[in-house]
Amino acid sequence: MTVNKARILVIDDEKAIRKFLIAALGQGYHVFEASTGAEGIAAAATHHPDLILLDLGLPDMDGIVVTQRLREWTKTPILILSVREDESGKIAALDAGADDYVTKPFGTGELLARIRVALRRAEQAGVSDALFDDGWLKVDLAARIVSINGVATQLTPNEYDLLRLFIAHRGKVLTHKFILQQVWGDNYSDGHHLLQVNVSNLRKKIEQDPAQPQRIRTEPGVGYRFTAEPASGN
Amino acid sequence: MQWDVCNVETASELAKPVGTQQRLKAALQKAEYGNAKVVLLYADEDVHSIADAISTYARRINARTIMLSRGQKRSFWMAKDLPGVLLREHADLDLVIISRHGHPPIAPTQDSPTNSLADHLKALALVGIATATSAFFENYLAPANIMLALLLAVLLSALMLGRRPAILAAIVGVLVFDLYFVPPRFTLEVDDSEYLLTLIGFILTSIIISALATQRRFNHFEAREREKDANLLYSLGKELAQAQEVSEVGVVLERHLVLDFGTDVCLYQPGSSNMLLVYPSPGQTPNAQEQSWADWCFRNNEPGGSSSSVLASSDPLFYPLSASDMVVGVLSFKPNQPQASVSLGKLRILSAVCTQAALALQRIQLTEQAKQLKLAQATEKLQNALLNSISHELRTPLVSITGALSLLDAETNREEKSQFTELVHHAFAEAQRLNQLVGNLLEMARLESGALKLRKRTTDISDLIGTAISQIETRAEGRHFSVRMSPDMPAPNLDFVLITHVLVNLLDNSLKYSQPDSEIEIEAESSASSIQIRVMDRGIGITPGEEAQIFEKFTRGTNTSDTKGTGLGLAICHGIVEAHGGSISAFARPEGGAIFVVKLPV
Repeated sequence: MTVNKARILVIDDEKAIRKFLIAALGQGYHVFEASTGAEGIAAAATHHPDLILLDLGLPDMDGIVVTQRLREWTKTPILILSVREDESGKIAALDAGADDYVTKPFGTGELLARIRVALRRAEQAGVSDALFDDGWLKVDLAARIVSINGVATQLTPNEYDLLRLFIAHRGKVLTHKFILQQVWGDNYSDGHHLLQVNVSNLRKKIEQDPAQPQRIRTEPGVGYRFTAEPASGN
Repeated sequence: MQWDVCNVETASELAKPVGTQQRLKAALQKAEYGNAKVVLLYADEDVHSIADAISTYARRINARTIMLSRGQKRSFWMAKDLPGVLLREHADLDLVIISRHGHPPIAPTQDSPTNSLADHLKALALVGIATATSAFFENYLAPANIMLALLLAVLLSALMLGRRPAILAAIVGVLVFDLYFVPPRFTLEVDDSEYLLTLIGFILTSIIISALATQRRFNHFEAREREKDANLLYSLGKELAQAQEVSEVGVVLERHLVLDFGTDVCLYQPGSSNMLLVYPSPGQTPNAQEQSWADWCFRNNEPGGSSSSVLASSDPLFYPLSASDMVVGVLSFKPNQPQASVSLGKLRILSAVCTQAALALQRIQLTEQAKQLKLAQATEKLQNALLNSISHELRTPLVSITGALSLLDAETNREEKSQFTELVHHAFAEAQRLNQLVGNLLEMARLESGALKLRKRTTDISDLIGTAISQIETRAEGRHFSVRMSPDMPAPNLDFVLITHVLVNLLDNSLKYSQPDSEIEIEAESSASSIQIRVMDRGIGITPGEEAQIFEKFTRGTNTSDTKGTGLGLAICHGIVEAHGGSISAFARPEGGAIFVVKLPV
């Protein structure tokens, strides 16, 4: 069984945090550690981890720079460890290519859940489903048909593109800037209000209770995360 | 409508009595009060030249209409009248002649004429010298050469003494020549009729010479004045540009103006309520009258003073110093000798001086502001760095402590309950509480230091409420949230993260103080200028009289002693809402529970 264990690289300058992470992750994963950015980049090249846990506040270089350097040659999922106040840091890291973030301090449960999502997403990368169905929302991506609880629903072209983008990146936090660029193109990178209105309309069409959305979650100050998963059997 | 007032200065103007000149200055200054631009034009002593000067200026400023005051008596020099020449030679310009009705004509005054008696005597002396010399060499000289000697005397008089002495010299010269040198001697009769021609030629030549010489004197005088003005402005500009402080501006102004204008200078700058004297004796209170004039001048951006003419009175005149539409100070001029007189040209220079002084003051002000801004930025940067470093230092150990305890808690929960598992469970809960406290303290510090920057964006209120609920859902323990929103909610500009934080704090509060199965209601509605979000619970409510107190930091309701809290959550809400220009308040519900109302501007 040990052969199939995923490999995780922890890059953090605090020894106590590394020790706790090794203890928390040790049972399910092979864990490697690095205490500086440079060391981390080197370790990523040597150990070929399946996932990298990266602290934003490293002594030798900015976590965002580490992300950029890693993204030059690897697609390994990167999970950022950051403090709550640092929204701009999170956004910069995500825009630089990080996959997700966990806010410090975090519980083990939350961390493990994020790691599982990231690893699964990496595994499924390149495999595109033709159909998404979580039991309520059903999207036939090949035929461009959306139905809610079995009833076909009309989406505007932008809403459909938005939904398709969310489904393709489900579980992952998407920044405002990324979504705007993907759906509307580069010229709309500051069309925050446009995005907000479209998300609001999409929620009204696909959420059971649009006031307390369960599928498209807002990540305050950062962006959105599509949290629905296909119901088992699909 | 824009209007310019031109004063055409010629040589004969300069020769006018001082009283007339001062009246003219007063009139021009009144025009300046009435927002006219006063310009000084120079022209030759000739009606065509004056008409040319006026029309050239009119074309340059695109003036439509020229208004002339009705002509005074025609002088000897002005053979033609000015309106006539203007009409004939510049027919494209509209001409309006205004009467002098209501204004008494400028009466000849008893002021002493420009050319004193001494000048006339000097002219006579020159003629005398010429005559004596000619008489001495009479036997060797032809009458034509004697004529030349007398002409020389007239020319010298015109050059050195002015027009009137020169004319006197010409008349006396002709008489002397006729009486003494033209036979028959000592009579006005002339034997040879050719001499009559000589005498007429002499008179004409004398007149032309004296006119030309006076013109030259005037040109020379004008050039010298202009050069002095240019020098003054040049050196003033250079020195003002180097001034680093307001007092230096005062020193520079004083040095130039005391010397060249004979005026004392005071500089005022706006204080909190009225103008403050900043030069020559900063901090000293000016007398009530000067104070009120300085204030008036600053408010109205117009020159002022107790007399409409600074020149006629020894009271100070106040000039506003305005640069780029902003009045930065007031400059007052006070003649330092009674009856001190400033010429019209100087008056014009004064306004140029004021402009330069204003620019210098503004530059000093802006430099000072830039310095302050830089300092504030540095302070803010330092504060932020300090808070970030404290945040990091406090949080890092907490990350490993809560992390480790959460791991132990998760591992031990599977086993049956023991003292050990209880211990770990409580330690984990306490670590989380400590964590929250640290977070709250840091947030409070950020709010109070002003280091918190609002990132306002248009915000969907429904999204805001939904996000807040989703963040505390896991702690709801069966409490039900019901959301009511008016359908036409606007999308105000808010910092989404911070307002979400406010709602999470309020909801968290409601969770803490209410029963697990109770309902928490959230209502949102809008008015023309604001939106209101209400969070209502069925909890322990608020003790009457404590509605305002609970928003103060480290203050908790007296009925909350059973529940753990930091006394910071509501204070943070208060701080964030205030930073948005809104208000937050709390009320007890009559049927039990509490209502929190957040009011935010749209």
